[in-house]
Amino acid sequence: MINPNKIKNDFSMFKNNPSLKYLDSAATSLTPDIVVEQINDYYKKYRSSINRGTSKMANDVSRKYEGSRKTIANHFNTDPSEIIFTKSTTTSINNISKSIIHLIKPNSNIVVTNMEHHSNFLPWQVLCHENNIELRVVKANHLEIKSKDVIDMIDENTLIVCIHHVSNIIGNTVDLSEISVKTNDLDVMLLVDGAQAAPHKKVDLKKINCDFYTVSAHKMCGPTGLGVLYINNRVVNKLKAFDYGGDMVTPSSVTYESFLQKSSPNKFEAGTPSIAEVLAFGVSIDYLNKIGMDQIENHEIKLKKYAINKLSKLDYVKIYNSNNNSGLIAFNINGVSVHDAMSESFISDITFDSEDIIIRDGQMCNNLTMKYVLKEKALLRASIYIYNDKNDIDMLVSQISKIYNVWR
Amino acid sequence: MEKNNLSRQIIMDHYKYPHNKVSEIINRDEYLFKKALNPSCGDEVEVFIKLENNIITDIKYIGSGCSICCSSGSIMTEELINKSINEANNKIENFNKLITGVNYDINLFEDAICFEGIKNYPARYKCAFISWETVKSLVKGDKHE
Ligand SMILES: Cc1ncc(COP(=O)(O)O)c(C=O)c1O
Repeated sequence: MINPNKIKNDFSMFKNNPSLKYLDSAATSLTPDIVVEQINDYYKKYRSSINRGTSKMANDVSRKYEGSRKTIANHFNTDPSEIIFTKSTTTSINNISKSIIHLIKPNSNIVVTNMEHHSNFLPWQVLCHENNIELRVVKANHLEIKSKDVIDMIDENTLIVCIHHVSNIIGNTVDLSEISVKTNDLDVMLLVDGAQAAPHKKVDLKKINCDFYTVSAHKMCGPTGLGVLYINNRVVNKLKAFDYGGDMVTPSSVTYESFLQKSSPNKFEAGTPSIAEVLAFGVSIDYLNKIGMDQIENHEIKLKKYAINKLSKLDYVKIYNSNNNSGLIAFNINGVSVHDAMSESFISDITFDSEDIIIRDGQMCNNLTMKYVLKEKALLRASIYIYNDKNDIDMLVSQISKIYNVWR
Repeated sequence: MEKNNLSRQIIMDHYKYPHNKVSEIINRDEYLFKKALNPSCGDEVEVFIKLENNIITDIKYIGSGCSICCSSGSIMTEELINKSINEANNKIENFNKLITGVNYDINLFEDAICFEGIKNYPARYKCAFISWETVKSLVKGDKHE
């Protein structure tokens, strides 16, 4: 069982901010000290580039960099050649959208859903507009995307299906198994946005059997500025490289006329990568595995149940996702705008911020879910992670009632 | 009552019992109107004005959002009704100064001075100004957006 109080000791953020109640890990998680120390070590002890030059130090760092890739590959049950480092989930998805343009035919279509984060919707909307092909949007049914509705949208002209694994407002998990059977049958590509899944549960990419899977390190105890993009080896040859430059090319092959690309993962990692971040993220993955992904998932589900139980006693709180197994709580306080609840003004200094309770307000970069699924202009989201405990929830609930009393 | 508390009370009153706020306008074609959004927090206002001989003879708004946005909309309608375009523009300009902590003509305003405190909360500037800004663009001739 997870002991959040022990885990809190791993994070200097809590020492430096003793009253912090951090309930915004779905936006970005905190980073344990050992991960920060790894970044420091790289800069202070063995700063050098990778795969360039032949010094002992450079070789060591190259080995560590590839070691990190291996750790991450093992974690997701896949081969290191299928793990590509990018800047973020956003960059990963945009890159894929550009690397398949040449595969578009006049009758192609792309399948997405109306519960995607903007980063898994806008690149596809743009691609469809610019190439004059159909964008098929699967609509949520009872606040979740049903795999059957996705399957019904896919046909032999579908180029790619782009779908979240866990949604970033509601927190529901999409059942990907039947979807991937269909995409594999029809030889359609499947991209899964795992930004909200990978931090919270065991993700087995062999089992999921998709073509692309995206992760943001900063949401899972890792550094900012690093994304992991899984590219199934079976599609590598179909894709255009994202960028052209150093390290993605066999150096001696470059002539005035042509060059030879390396194979994956190098093909997709032109230029000097985020070395410190990659090394650090290997440490994050080890850290999470030491706690155990199943333990993490159970902890979040249990703490959410505790929260829902308390919140449902407040009849002025509207909860949108009481029942699903996630660490996300999407809610509104009746009669109180999210802005008034969150941020201090000269009218009220009783807000979440005033008690160092960090949650998220607004549209969470997902206006489709807000507008078409929840039909709300804005809401509040508390998100639970490994370091959260009952006290964080108690403080949240008590502040909600204080805020309500200011405005009722 | 301390000045801040008084301001707070007046703003709360306008928030809870807004003036000239409607849920819909039936005879839209008699008005100039424009919608504005505060994307960060979901504030949304639509302002309607009736201009006769360069005078704002009627002003209404539809809105939802935070206390500052809604009360500022209510106070704005009171401050700008029956003003000429020039007077309205002058007031809007001075209100902008008022909420950003720049010297302004205090004699121009009644309830609007309650918003002086906004100068210390720049994150809420947009909430306070959104409805005023909309009138400014309406009298300039932008409409039906
Ligand atoms: C489901 C989902 N997809 C994509 C993203 C974008 O991630 P990033 O900002 O790290 O690129 C997020 C982050 O908020 C997310 O929750």
